[in-house]
This record gives sequence, C-alpha cells and structure tokens, in this order.
Amino acid sequence: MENECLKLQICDAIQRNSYYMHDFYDFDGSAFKIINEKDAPHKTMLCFTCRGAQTILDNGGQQLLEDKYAEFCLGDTHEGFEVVLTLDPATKPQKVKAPSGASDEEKAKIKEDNAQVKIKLAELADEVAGRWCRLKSEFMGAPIRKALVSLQEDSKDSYFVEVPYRKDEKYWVKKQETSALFYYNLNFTDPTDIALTRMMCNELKDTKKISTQSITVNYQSKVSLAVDLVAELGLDPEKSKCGLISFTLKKEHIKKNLETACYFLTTFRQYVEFHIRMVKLLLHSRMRKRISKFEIVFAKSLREGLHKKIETKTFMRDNRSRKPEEEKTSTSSRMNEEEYTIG
Amino acid sequence: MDTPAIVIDNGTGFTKMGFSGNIDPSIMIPSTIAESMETSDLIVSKVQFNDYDYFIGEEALKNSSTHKLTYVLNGGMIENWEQMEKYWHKSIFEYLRADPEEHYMVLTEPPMNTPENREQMAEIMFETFGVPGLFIGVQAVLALYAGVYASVDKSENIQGKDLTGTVVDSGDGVTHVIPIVHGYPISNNIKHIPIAGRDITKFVSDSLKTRKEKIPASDLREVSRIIKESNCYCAPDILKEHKKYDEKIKDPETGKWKQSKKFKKVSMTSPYSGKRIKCDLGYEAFMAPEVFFHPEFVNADYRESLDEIVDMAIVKSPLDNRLDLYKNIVLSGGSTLFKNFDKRLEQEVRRRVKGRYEALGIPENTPEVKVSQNVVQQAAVWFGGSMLADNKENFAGIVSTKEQYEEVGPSIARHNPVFSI
Repeated sequence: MENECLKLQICDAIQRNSYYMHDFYDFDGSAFKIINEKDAPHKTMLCFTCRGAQTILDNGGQQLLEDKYAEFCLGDTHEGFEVVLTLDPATKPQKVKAPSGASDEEKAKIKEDNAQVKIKLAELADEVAGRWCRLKSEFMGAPIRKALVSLQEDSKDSYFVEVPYRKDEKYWVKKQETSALFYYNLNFTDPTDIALTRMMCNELKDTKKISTQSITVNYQSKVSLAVDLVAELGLDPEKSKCGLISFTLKKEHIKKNLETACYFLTTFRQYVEFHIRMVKLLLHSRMRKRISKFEIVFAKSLREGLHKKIETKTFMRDNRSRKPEEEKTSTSSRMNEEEYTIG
Repeated sequence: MDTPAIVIDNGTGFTKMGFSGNIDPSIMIPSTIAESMETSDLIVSKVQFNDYDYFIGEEALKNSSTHKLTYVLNGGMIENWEQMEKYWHKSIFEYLRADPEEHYMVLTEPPMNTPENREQMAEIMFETFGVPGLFIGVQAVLALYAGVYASVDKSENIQGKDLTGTVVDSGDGVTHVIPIVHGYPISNNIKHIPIAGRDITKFVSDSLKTRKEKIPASDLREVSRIIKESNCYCAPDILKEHKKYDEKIKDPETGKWKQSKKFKKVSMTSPYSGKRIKCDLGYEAFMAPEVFFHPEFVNADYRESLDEIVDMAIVKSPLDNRLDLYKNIVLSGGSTLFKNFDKRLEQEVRRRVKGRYEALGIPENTPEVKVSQNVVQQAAVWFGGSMLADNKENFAGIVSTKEQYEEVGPSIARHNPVFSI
C-alpha cells in the first residue's frame, strides 16, 4: 500500500532541484529522510531505517533490494540509516537556459521544450515516488516474503528468524518443509487496549471454524514460561500482555495470491492497532451521544415537589404578640395587619 | 521521548500536519469530512459498517456527491466532536501513518478557546489515541514563536520577553488580530474579522460569473481559488491601479488601440474534471485582496478595515507595550501571502498612526510600524509548533504527560502553559 504523504514529499523533492531535507516517520518506529544535498541538489536520496533492519537485511531484505530497487542502489550511505535509495541525476530531464544571443524563435522553442521537460520530470517523479513509498512495507516484510516464496516454490529448507521490529514486540518466522509459521507477540499498556486486543485475537482464532480451508490461527492470551513454545521463542511475559498469536500457512493458501497474504502478515500489528483505536472512537461517540441525551432530559427535569401547586401556608406565623383570646386559625395566607404586630 | 512529536494544526479551511523538526508540514489537506448518508432503513454504503465509511480532506471533496460533506471547524472552533475524532483518526493512521502511543502530540487552538474544549481535546487524545503527552498551543503565540525563531535561529535563545508582537492570522475561514505580550495573548483586545480566504475566493468567483466566463459550475470554486493564489496581488493605490488597467496602448505598427497588458489570459486544468479551462483575468486580480482594506465590498454590515482593527487592538493594549506591538506585526496564514500585502498593511497602519499623532500635535513621537512576513508564512503556526516541540529539553517542561492525565484528569488541559523560558 502506498504511503501517500511520503509519495508527495518524494515527488516534491525530485522536482525541486535545490537543497531540501524532510524527515518522515511511519509505523513500527521506522524513519525516512528525503535529501537533496547542498553539494548535489539534483540528486535525490531516500534514506530508511527501522528496528531490526540488519536482521531483515540478512533475511531477505538485501535480496529484495537487489530484485526490486536495483537501479536505485548506487552505494550511497547516510549515517543512522541502513537503506539508501538514490535517483541518478543523469536520468532526470534537465531544463535548458536560453543563450543570451538567441533569437525570439529560439527562445520560444526553448521555452516550449522546457515546458515538456517539466511534464516529463513530473511523470518521472510520480513513477519513482510510487515505487519508493512502498519501500517500508516491502522491506519490513522481506523475511515473510522470503518464507512464502520458498513455500510456493516447494523448497524443503527449514529455518527460524526472529525480527525485533518494535520496541517491545517481535515477530518470528518459522519455515518448515511444507508450512510456514508466523508468530507475533502483542504488547499494549492500556488495560482497555489489552482487553480489546484479546477479543480481536480470539475472534481471529474462531474464524478457522467457519471454513475448512482457512489458515490455522492459534492464540494464547496469557503467555506463560511453562509453555515450551514460549521458552523456545524467548518471550518475556511482561512484554507480551496481549498474548501470542500465530498463523500457519501452507502452499494451497498462497497458490493464487501471495501478495495479499504477505501484505496482511506484514501489516498485522498496524491492523490491530487501527481497529482498536476505531473501536474506542466509536464507543466514545456513542457514550457522548448518550450523555448529551441525558443532559437534555436533566435540563428539563424539575425538583420533586416544585411542580405542585401551593395551597396551604408555607411559612410559620409569629404569634408572640397576639393576645390569647384573639388568636384565630386563618386559612387565608394574607396577613391581617391590624391584628399582628412584630416584636 | 526520542521520537519526534506529531504536530497537527487544525484550521478552518486547511489542516497542516507533520512531524516536529521539519520546516514544512508533511501534508496539508482541507478540514472537511464526508460521512455516509443514512437514508432511513436502507443502507446505501458499500462498506459493511457505516461508521467506517467516511473520508477526509481532498477525498471528502471528491466523494461529496455520495456522502454528506461538512467542514469540521467553524471560525476555528471545533463544533462536532465526533467528526473531529474521526478526522484525527484518519489523519494519524492514514496520512501520517504514526503510532500515536510513540509520539507526543502538539495541537493548536484558536484564541479564546474555552477550557472545556481543551479538556475535550485532552480526553480524546489520551483516552482514544493513548498519546504519551499532549501540548495545546494558541495559534497566534506559535505564529509569533515561528517569527522570532527564524530571526534567532536557536530556540534555546528565545526568552519570554521576545514573544511580544501583534499577530495578524488570516486563514480560510476567519481572520484574527491578536496582541501578545511576553507570550500572553491580551484576550480583551483580540479582534475577529469575518473576512478571510473564503470570502476572497467568492469575490473572484462572483467576478468571473458576472463576466460570464465559460467555466463549469462544478469547477468554478476551485478555479477561483487557483486564480486567487497564483495571480492576485495587493496594489498600493487602487485608483492608480484602475487607471493602469484602463490605459489603452497604441500599437505603433498597426495604429490600433490595444487593451492594457495588465489584463491576462489564464489557463489551467481542473483538478476534478480534468478539463482545460481558459478565462480572462481582470480587475479582480487586485480588487480581491482589497477586501481586507474595504470589507464593504463583500459584507455590507461590516466596514472596519484590517488596518483599523490592528490599530484598535494595539491602542487598547497596555501603554508600556504599544511601541513593541507596533514594531512587530507578524503575518500568518495563507490569506496573507498576497504579493505586497505586508507593505500595504504597513503603509495603511503607519498612515493611521501618523494621522493620529499629527492631530495630537506630536508627530515626532509617531511609533515605528513594521509588518514582517514569516519564513513559512502559510504554515507559520505549524512551523512554530514544530520548532517548539523540537526543543526537547524545554518541551518536556510544558507538555502534559499521560501519567499526569491519569492522576489529575482532563482538567490538566484547562491551564495552558505558555513558554516557561
């Protein structure tokens, strides 16, 4: 999936032909740097780094760069970034300046040519940006892609890879002879997020019951060191509060569409986080609607007794100055001034 | 926190968002949302859940025929919190593609924003998105910070007393004039002007319609906006400018009288229909921005010009600070990007101030008036937030953390800490 925002920045940098620098960040702690250097403003570089980048490079990442980004790997490096893609300035169409002694016709021709150059540069920028903006998802899913491709090719090799792609989370790829297993430990800190994640993963686990050909999903909501698998993976229960989920794929699952499977597995963690936030958003909006309805009812309500009509006296008469024989009970609420004196 | 902060400046017309440390925002999109239309029992949405079926920004404008289009903010203020939450959700996950748990968040608020609104913003950010820290900055103060930062170059050197000036923030929906002293907006003197970018675009589109230019109705608004942004300018004197336009030139070869070269032909491709559109550009090139100085052109009920409002805002400010306020008038927002806008505003304010001092008989005491443009004027507020958050040492002192929110509650956002520098 394209990163539209990054694509726009890359397009802008390629067409700029002047010094430019922009930092961009993506999911899973990955970072990009787009540079048109001061010394070489026509050369556009995209630098990329992520957690576990070296492990990924050693397990399919380097192969991916050689297969899909060969013409951009020109050997440039940038401190702090493991992957650097460069657009060769020689491939960029350049505008021509009209010489001082040129005639009006020549100037008009050069102006027209430069307009065409501008259009071609925009097309090139769009094409290159469209490829570069996919780098993060393709690179970080390289070990997954490698396992799925070898599964598709009936390769009998087996291996095990651990990729620390997030601060407290990892994914593992266990390639076996006829299947590939993918493990994810999920770690959220907020109790609501933990509860929602567990619900979602349990739902995923239950989907296998619907179809006989569905992939096998296993989920353990609580990670215990007593379990062999947990010990094998080297999991820390404190950093796996939402549990451990695994997907087992076989050749028949990826016969028709390897890309979809690869994309889903690569972006699984983002998928979970997106839906958790969306669920909370919807819960909050419903709560807000309920509260606003309650506020309307509350504003219309009256205190008990206030709506009743007052028929009797609501005050205590002070009868201290009254003479005992003149004291009368009166149903009228109006005071008789001739009879009543204060004090 | 090692990761940079996310800076989102929600304006009435456009939202600027990106990561701190950058000079310009990563993306700028309209502050629009298009939600699925609920038609009684019939679910017309193609997506299974209506709640997911919404678009923001440019996509919202493109899908306005099938979805209900609304602007999320009105006069800079958030009115519908549900829509705002959805807007932020897509902004963070689809556009910025960020994990909200890993980045501090910098949001902006208009001047005179209520503490309840700030609480609501904090609640949404901490509860729904789980951000580790939040800072809500006043837009005008951030714009001033951006201007000071550009001249000082290091945020460590900026002190509270440097943040004194008058900010003229003109965006798409509303224009504010805010005098700020030592980082504190003088709330009593904040002026709102109901003239902004949208009104200027409407002026241009009305002029084109009156002249019966051949522009499809669906493209008129966008074409007017493009013409406004690329061709309009501020003239120092509109009468003289009119004369320049009305001047006829005699062709020496043919002997025929020709129209002034000021009239232009403009051509562009419509971003929606893709068609090539051609039209003439006439007086609206300089008359459109003139709306700021003659608001009666678009609003019969409102007659106070921008220079009058700026002068009024400063005159009502404390006496000790007026000289600094006149000396540091900072422009911010896309609608101040017109060519020569700064010079024109400076000229008008200076004329007004000089006239008053001459009437008092002390023309020699006339204060210096200076209007300055920002380095990143269109996104000055965003730039100020970016540079503020990039200064990690100082920023850690003013941000409200999640731990503080869990201890105190949403009321932690009621108090708006200005710069403790």
